Amino acid sequence: MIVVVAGTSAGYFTVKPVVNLIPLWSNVKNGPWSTNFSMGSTGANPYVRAWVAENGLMALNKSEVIYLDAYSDDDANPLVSSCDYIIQGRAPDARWWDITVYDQDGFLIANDQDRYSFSSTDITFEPDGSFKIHLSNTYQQGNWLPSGNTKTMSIYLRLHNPGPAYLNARTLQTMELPHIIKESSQQ
Amino acid sequence: MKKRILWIGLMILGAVAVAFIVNLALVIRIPNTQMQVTMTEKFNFPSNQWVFSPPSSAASKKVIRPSADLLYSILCYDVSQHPLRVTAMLSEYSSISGFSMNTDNFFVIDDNQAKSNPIEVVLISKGMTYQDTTGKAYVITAPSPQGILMIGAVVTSQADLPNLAQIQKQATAELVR
Repeated sequence: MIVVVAGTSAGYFTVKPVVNLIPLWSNVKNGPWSTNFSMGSTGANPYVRAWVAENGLMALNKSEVIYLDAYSDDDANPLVSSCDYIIQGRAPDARWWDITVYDQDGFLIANDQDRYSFSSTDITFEPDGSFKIHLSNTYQQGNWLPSGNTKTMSIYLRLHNPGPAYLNARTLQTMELPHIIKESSQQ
Repeated sequence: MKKRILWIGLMILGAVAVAFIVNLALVIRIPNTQMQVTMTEKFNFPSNQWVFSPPSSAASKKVIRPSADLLYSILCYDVSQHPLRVTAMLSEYSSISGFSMNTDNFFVIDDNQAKSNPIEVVLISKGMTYQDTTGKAYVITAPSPQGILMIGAVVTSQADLPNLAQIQKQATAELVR
């Protein structure tokens, strides 16, 4: 009896941590970015499916879209709206891409500009072809992504119809992805 | 003493086994529960009808991590009795996709892949048959009788928004009786 009660309780109370942890083991990581190739796929295991259900319902499979998320900057510090960041890099090899910022609950951050993202079709590139996005809660010149007044943030890089190198875990791990650099802290 | 240690060890192993089984059983239910909640409580759309959604904003709280750059139309399908025929005009950078109750994206066809535009998809459930006489339709077997179809179109500029919305609102859906 004790065995059943203890086991049932342990099984119940570990659902959320396990759902958040197990898919991480199979994640492909590159700097602050990570993705799970089985997201949305019919080959996903129950833990990945549960993670998708709770964190990104209606995720398309990787041939259509690769979703790379970042919860920290290049130095592995959590992304917080009290700090300013620069997201910089070169246009990824994809038919279309966007970079979106979310609050701690995974929702778009309210701001007067209604600016939640930059995409390959609306971002202003630097003369050398690279791009630079200012993630800050105060006005910035150029590509400004307002970070509003939230605690922690996450950044999503969506690659629609990604190039073949992104579809291979080994090459994705070593590819040049946008850097997330902390510029200053307001606290 | 040895017997006691053995018993304690067996009890711990038993508890771990029960914990694993309970955990897995609960985890397996999460996708279906979330899809059910999303379809019936958050969306609450009538079955087998396209519902056009305005662009996502900070006020959009129905789905976690919405894309602010996509224009969506959603259809909560039910093909338990009859096949469902849908048509959709695919603008540049757009796709039509299907999600079963376990959250699997069981098909996605984008504007580059579509063999006709408007695209025609006939969704059937397992065990159903459908003879496509036109040769244009994609006949797709849904892994679950209920689920979600989605049209997602990239909004390349705000100026394109009315035109994209107009295109997406032309999507049709009808049960084939």
